[in-house]
Amino acid sequence: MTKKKINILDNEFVPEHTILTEEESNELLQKFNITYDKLPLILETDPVVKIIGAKYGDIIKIVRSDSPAGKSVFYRYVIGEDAKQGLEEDLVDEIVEEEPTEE
Amino acid sequence: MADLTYIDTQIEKNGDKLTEHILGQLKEKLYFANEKYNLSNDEVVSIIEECIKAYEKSLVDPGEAVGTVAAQSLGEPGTQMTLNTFHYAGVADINVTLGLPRIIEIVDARKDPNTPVMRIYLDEDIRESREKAEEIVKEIEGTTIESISKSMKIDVINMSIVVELDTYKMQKQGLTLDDIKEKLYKLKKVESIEDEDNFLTLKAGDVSLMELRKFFNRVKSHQLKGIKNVKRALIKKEAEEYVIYTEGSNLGEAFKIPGVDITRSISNDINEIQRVLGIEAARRAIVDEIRKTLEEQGLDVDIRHIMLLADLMTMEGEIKQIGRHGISGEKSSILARASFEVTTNHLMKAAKFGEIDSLSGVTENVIIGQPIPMGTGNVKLIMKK
Repeated sequence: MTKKKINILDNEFVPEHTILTEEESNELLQKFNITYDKLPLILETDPVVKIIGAKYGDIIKIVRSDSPAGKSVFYRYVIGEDAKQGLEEDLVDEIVEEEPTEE
Repeated sequence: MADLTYIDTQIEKNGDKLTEHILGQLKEKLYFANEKYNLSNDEVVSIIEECIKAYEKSLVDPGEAVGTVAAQSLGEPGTQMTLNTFHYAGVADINVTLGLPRIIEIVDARKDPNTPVMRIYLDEDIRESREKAEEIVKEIEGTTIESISKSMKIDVINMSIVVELDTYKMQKQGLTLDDIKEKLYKLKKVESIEDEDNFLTLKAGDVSLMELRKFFNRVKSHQLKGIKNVKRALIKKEAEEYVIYTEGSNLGEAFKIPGVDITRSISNDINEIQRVLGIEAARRAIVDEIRKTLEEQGLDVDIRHIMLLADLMTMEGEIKQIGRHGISGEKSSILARASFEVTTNHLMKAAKFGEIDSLSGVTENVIIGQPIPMGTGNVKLIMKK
């Protein structure tokens, strides 16, 4: 039996995902006046991310077609699994030990 | 009657005030109305204007407390929903969790839903053939040793397991004695398998009675055919095609089967959808499942509230529950978390580490009696010098 070619991007539930170029990414951040950490996230291990070859740091543009007003655009910033854990570790480091004050 | 090109130009003029989707529909309907009611040019213009007004009215104002409104809009119909889980939704025999328990399941992002179900569509060339559908059912429906045997016993004297096979059932599933033996040899600890007539005798070597019992259970539920997790598959005719509904879900494996239409086949297990199709598909599935559950109960909630909920749950790349192990537990405000659940834990921990609450959210400002940073509170007044 020949192996069937499966492309999950064909499934109805998966909207169109495109990787933004560096220029487009900067334009986007400027347009909304934000830094990249304010964007919604998507994991590097996400099945769609793996197929389109996006990497940690890329911004993905997603065009959804399920809104009552037609198409809607959404953006997601790609992070790795470890990036998340890295974040939590940073917070622990921020607990600074205070020197006991002089009597 | 207005000129079609006039309608086109008027629509173009207002192109930036409405979305593409709406403009498309508007154009179609204007053409239709033009034919039917013989519209004048002025009438075309005023129709477009009315449409723009209606659209702008439906937009949300900046600063609107959409989260609170969405929560209330979903909570209120929640009080009208049934608490019983069983209903025969659609296909006879397959139970699906409905009503409030289902909503709770979705919002809690349960990793193992009560009633996972797959809806499998077939490829274009075979979807109208009942035989082809049945072929695929045979491939996905799980068949265990138990399901094709007349009886199964533990023989304590010989420390073996005796299975009496049911040839009729075997034939129905297209399994031969050799097939079964082959699959059984894959079981761990199987030492020998002998067959006489329709009786299989399995020995597991030198084992204790308890181990023999465990072995018995493993043999009983050993899967011979079908994909993992799928217990039953039923065929239903919908419109002109045959659709397969399964009890139990394994989307990844189902997609691999030739004949299965991967563009439309789907599951109701949200976490599985995230694993197989990605976070965006999972978000869409959350919206769909909640909408369907409400619809089935006869409730009508604006889809934007549901979309907001789904977006919030999938904001960080994976599905997070709304409860204290998810979104609510990750708020930066101590007061907000303390007022949600496990009060003392949060307050104690915060006190120990000297945490600071910047009082920038809704809950904490309500607690201390300050205006909330939404709507009116979104704006600060400054004196002009």
